[in-house]
Amino acid sequence: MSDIMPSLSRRTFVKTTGALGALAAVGGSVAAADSLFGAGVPEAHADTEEKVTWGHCAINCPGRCALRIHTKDDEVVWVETDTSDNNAIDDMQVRACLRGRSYRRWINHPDRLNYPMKRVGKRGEGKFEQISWDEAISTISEKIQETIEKYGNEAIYIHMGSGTSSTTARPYWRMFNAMGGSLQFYGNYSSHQLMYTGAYVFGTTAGSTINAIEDSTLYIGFGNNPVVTTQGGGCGHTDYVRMRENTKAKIIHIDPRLTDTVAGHCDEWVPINPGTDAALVAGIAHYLIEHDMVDLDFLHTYCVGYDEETMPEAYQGKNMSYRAYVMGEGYDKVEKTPEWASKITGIAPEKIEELAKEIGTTEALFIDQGYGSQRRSNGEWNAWSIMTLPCLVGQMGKPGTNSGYSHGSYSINLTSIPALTNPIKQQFPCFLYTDAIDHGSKFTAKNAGVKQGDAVTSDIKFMFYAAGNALTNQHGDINRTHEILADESKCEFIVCTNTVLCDSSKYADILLPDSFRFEQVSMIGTGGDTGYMIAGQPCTTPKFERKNPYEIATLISRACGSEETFTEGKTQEEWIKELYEKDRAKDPTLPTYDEFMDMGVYKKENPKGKTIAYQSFIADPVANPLKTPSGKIEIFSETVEKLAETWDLEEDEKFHGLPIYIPEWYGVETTTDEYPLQLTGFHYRGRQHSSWGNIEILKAANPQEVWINPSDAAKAGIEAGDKVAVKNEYGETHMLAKVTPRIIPGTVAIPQGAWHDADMYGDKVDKGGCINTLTTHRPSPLTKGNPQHTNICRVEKIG
Amino acid sequence: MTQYAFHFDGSRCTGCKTCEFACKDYYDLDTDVQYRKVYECTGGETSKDENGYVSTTCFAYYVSMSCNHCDDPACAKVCPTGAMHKDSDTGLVSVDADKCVGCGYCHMACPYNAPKVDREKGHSVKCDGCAERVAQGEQPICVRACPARALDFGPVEEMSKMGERGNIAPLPESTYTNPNLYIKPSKDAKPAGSKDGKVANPLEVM
Amino acid sequence: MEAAFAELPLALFTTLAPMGAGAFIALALAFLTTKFTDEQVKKIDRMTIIPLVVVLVGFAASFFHLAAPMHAVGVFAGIGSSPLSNEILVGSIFVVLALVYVIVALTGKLNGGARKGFIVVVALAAVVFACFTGMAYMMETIASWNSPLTVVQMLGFALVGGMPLGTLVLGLAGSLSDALKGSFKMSALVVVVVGALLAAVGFCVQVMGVGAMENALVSGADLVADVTIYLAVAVACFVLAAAGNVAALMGRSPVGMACFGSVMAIIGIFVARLVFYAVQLSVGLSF
Repeated sequence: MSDIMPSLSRRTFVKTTGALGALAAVGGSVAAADSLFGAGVPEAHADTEEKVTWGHCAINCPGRCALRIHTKDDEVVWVETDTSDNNAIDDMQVRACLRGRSYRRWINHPDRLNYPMKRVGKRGEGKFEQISWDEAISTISEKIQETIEKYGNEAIYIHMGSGTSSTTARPYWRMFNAMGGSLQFYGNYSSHQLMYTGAYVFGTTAGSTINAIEDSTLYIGFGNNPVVTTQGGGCGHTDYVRMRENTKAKIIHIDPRLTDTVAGHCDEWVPINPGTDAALVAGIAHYLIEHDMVDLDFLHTYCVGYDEETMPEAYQGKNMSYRAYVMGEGYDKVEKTPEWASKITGIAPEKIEELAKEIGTTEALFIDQGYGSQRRSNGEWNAWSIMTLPCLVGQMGKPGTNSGYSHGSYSINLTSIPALTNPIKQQFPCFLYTDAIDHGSKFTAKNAGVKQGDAVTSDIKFMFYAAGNALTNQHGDINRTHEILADESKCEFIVCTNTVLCDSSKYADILLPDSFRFEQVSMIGTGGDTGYMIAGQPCTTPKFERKNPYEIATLISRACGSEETFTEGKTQEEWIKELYEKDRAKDPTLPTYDEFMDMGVYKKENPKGKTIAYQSFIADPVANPLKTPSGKIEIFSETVEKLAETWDLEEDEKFHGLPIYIPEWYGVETTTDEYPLQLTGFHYRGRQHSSWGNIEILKAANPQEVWINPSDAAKAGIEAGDKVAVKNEYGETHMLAKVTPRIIPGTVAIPQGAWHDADMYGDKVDKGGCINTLTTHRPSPLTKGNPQHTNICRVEKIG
Repeated sequence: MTQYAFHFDGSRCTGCKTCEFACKDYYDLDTDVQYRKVYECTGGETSKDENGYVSTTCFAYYVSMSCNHCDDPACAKVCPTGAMHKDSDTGLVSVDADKCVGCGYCHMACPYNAPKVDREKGHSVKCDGCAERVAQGEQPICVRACPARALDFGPVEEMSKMGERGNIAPLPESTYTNPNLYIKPSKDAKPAGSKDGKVANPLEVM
Repeated sequence: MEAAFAELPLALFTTLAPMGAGAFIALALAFLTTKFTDEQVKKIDRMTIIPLVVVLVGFAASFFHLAAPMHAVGVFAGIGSSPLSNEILVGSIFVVLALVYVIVALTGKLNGGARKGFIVVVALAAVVFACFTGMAYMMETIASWNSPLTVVQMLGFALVGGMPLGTLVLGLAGSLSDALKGSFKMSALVVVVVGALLAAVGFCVQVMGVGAMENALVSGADLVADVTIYLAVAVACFVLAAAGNVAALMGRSPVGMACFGSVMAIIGIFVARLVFYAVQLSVGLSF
């Protein structure tokens, strides 16, 4: 066992290390002794001088937890949350996670941006100089107008950033629409492939709430780690823990890693080679078919494409059904036996048979998927296959079941500030943004998945980027991205707003100091098993020259002559109030604006108790058809099959309108001698994506480590705690090794979101452990989503 | 006297460290000081056979622990100055900063890794059970922070009803100090003193 | 092993103080077995400042271990319960005795039986101090230290270090050759060899025993593997210290050899102390 233990240095003392420090510290310790607080008494907060305001977290986790911000002398001193002494797990409280509890370190961070700045070095160098707001706004407005004149509004673009949210946190689309619009992306980095594949399968996607698992007899989660990915007390984390106590269901998690959702309950873990979920489902389907366990009534009533009987007319008699694919009569003539699936998934045939038998015989099956299985080069087929699984056994629309889509939530949906109408209709997939800078004008529906139009007409020339880090840090292939962004002849002007100088902000030509949502009036609605909404007031007076997004957008609009259209004469607070009153008109049970501002958090039970996905469709498929072309669940999608026939696709991208297994490029089956390991990513405790990635106390307790199985570590001569380089053809990044049996052999995993730290005009070696140094920018074939979990690499000990 | 105790529900804890960070925020602790720590205890193997089929005996679970305010605190026993002491009303163990000489013996002696010497402050530091909050009728900050509701705090008579005394690895057998930590173990938890698992995240807790 | 360097002040203290104390044992043996001239006694007393300084430097080093040395007056509060308080108490008594002895001796007022009586008391205090220094590390919760061998080796260190240092004092005072004419030679030889044995065996057996221990953080085998080379160095130094002392007692360049023995002892004990801290292994979550 010692091989998983890092070598340690003992620390009796903190603040100094080693005796030399100890010797040096003696003088200091004498001096410090005068300032000791009283005997045994902690630094107290009993002080009545403290002021408390409500606020909300706004980072991209559905939690958006409640914060109670304690200030003294107009400075934040600590951050509480929605909590009481009632620790009963059924008492719903929106308790913030470790990150929410660390906000003070971010608010008061020495690197917090305080003034507008202009770039004085090269893009990506991070060299800036303070300027006035007047200069910043006039420069920005001139560039906007110049871009519109020269290239048209199609050349203006806001990239996806998820570092803030509330009903008024994202006013910039409205700002541009008020001056003629901007080019739009669609999708996201989180669940792109799942969302858009789900839309082909179900029309409108839906998942049952976590508490519905209480009525299940078998729960199977694919790539799903809700206690981490939805870490707050109002959403997945607490809901999942509560559910686990209240359900009699057998719980199984299929994942390359033994995640924290499974920790403590490890008999629930079935390790799988990443990117092979579709093969597993096919193997299970084979067993179900062979053993007459498929629910033909369900498949024929609610689905199309399982077998010939429900194939669309044009595709009948061609062995193009899912059954034909599984039984070896389909396009590849390979029978998808459990043995076949075992070779690919790494799950033994007996285990696959056992899983299939349990799936085929259980009373109420809840098939769930996280976003892990779909963030891959073959993510569409994994997602689609998992959604097919409950159909095979007719486990949908009844208590204790799910659709195979990600579990859902019951949310209070508050209306956001309207974006106005964008005259520019065409949209491209967000993961193609660097291509859109490089050659967006060549984008078509067939080569780039352009929607709402056939083609994009301009490359991106002006980019506005608010509260995000996906220009570089969170985007695929940072080194390539750098080359595109650094070329000022491509995207000619970049404006970023942020609270700190993150890697993406280093590419800004003008960088504006943003405010947190709890530094202004703000409101947000969300939910888990229970819905809730949070209202907050500014915790302190505005500091330095920071401004909030509404103010920034107002100033730019004023300079561009569109202020009246943008503000409609209203302040942010007036907007918030007006939007809330509209929501309250729809739901009069909501508290009044003033009541809400006082209470901070308002919770609303799901009126149904538990939401069951597609309940009404299953109850009456004729009266409540799905919004798919057939009105049914499309196990075979004619739409997708036609795309496969007409789209420009590489040889290794060929797909069908069926949830088949497609071996990945850079997958477990395509590792090389040079890069023998599969590399996947995952969400980490100490960060939400890259947010909080610069907070020292969180970094120390959540070190950036690549997970590696002891057998792989031994081959590379790596021991726990070693500093390692992870390399592939795209780059090199450094971090520590976590040698652990919690990951399947042959695969290593890096927590995504660590702050990229490289000299981009030097060796480009990343010292920060950022996985996107190693990821590709190549999109998935069907939905053009991000495959950032699909990589190959090698790991070497360094230093 | 009311002896106070912590309760830890291992079947609920997901290792998120919110307890640790609520404490760090409330007491303004720096990078290298943690009054509460979350230990990852991991063991077993995950391997592939010649067919490439995976089998696993791996287990992993988390234990959140601060000072256990023991009945027989090893730290107080070895303390030369009496700075480390057990409160006669609450049984909470804390440091009298005016007496502490900062010798580090409490750190060496404590089998639960609770006290440490903070040279800047010039004395030992550790969890005092949020004595001040408790005196005002409130729960410790960590207990009120846990999203998974895995922590509780109260008179030992109540806490002891919900679990067994400090009985799981990586804790040592409770007989050394009689800790006031009562645990409901998770399914995977190994008994105290078991050598099957190891602390797998020493960088985070030591 | 690098972890042990964090305990540098303590390692210095536990090297120098017991060794300096041990020199008073050698001196007691010399005074009990030899009739020195007044001139010799005067010179010996002057040279006795050397081991006293060694002890005081050791104690001074220990202060660097403390985060709040100005609270040091409070360390007697734990007498009875805290092994550290007990050690400091005994150590303080020893220092006071040794200091008074040297001062009184230097004033020339310590004669005959009084001197013999006083130096024997100081020597006995040195033995007790060495033992209590070892006992301070015997804690139920630190499995790797909680052994009588911790005391045995510390006593061994006091002897294997103190004897050559005491011999050096006699040599520098030009009194060694006279002392060697009597039973000092044999008794000192026995004491230093016994000291070397106690030090080497006590130390080695204790450290090797750690190899079979384990807690949830570290395995004793790993700890021992890390220190094996240092273990060998320490033992070799003990042998050389004893050999140097024996050579001096045999009259072979006595000052040089006693000096060599003392230096070897300092190195050996210091390395052994670092090893000792490096093999700290708690029953629980400290190490």
